[in-house]
Amino acid sequence: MAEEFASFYRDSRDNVFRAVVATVGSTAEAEEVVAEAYARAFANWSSVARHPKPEAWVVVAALNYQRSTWRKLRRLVPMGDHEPESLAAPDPSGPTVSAVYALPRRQRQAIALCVLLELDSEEAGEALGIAASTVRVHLHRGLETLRNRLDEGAQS
Amino acid sequence: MKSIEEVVREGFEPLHFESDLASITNRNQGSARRRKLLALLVGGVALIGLIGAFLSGALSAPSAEAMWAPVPSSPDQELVASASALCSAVLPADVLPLAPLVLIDQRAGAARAVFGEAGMTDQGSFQRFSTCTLIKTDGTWTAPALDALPFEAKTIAGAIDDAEYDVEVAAVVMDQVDGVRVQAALADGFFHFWWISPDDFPGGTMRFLDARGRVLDSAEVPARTTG
Repeated sequence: MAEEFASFYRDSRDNVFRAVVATVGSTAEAEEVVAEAYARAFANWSSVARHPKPEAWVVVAALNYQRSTWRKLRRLVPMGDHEPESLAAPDPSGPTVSAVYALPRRQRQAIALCVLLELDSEEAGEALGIAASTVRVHLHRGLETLRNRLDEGAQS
Repeated sequence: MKSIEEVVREGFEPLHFESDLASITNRNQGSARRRKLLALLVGGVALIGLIGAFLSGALSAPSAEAMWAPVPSSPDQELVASASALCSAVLPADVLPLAPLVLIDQRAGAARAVFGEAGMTDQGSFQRFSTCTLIKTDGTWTAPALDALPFEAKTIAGAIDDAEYDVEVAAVVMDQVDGVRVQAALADGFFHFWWISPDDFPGGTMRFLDARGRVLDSAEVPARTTG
């Protein structure tokens, strides 16, 4: 079991990390939540290993953990101060990452799962709890916006 | 000519996850404890009894944070009992059989009923939550549609919508710089919340504690004036 998990960890960790970074917008926060998600996968490996896409399980576990209460509760004090839809202050990782961060959350999630993790829209939809057709719409819009922004950046 | 997908992958390629395997597997102990607690949250009526049983033991243990003592406000059992019926017009029918957690503001004028469950399956973790806002007018609780709520109730609705609950957090304590302490504690299965006025706030420190009083996290909250 330990060897099988170790192999899965080695093979998947970078893509999982990139998918989570694309969604949460901070490499430091992604490191924490991805580590926790892999720990949960290890603890539950007998069932996670049977998952059709264990790496998707880890990404979703990481994103769920990132949303956990005591992080969210901080936001209760400045009442009405909600999580921004897009991420305004990206880590310094280049224009493509910055352009992804500027997308709405659902579009970032669709790109994270379908492009960086290479899930199909059915698998991504199942992971996110939304319809595959909705994933395809967000993915299409996100990639279209990215293409335009990167083209604009290249021309200026 | 590269596709946009290739451009995205190349853009993220410099990012690598550097944690070694040992550091991951060593986290497992805490993770397993959280999973065990999470399991306690699964299920409708069992939820309240199980958390209550857990806390009755945990809260009597010596506190690592001697300053802190759980002092929840009195639960409004009538409201808890009637939350499903009150919320039936604004929530999907499939969540109504779940036992709600009811979050009540300290002035007992507004509340949030959280109907939900979470757990693990072979397909991964799952969670579903639906919430509705309750307000008390002339001594009577109602659950109006969101667009019919008064401003203050909308504020608490929006804030608590954004706050899921985590089984590790048993209490939240706010120590204001003016010496006032406000807190919420989980007891008898209910997470009693407080209301921070939308008026001027002097600033303070917010701490998140587990059932033994250990600080899980803290946050400095800046002063705020309404001008």
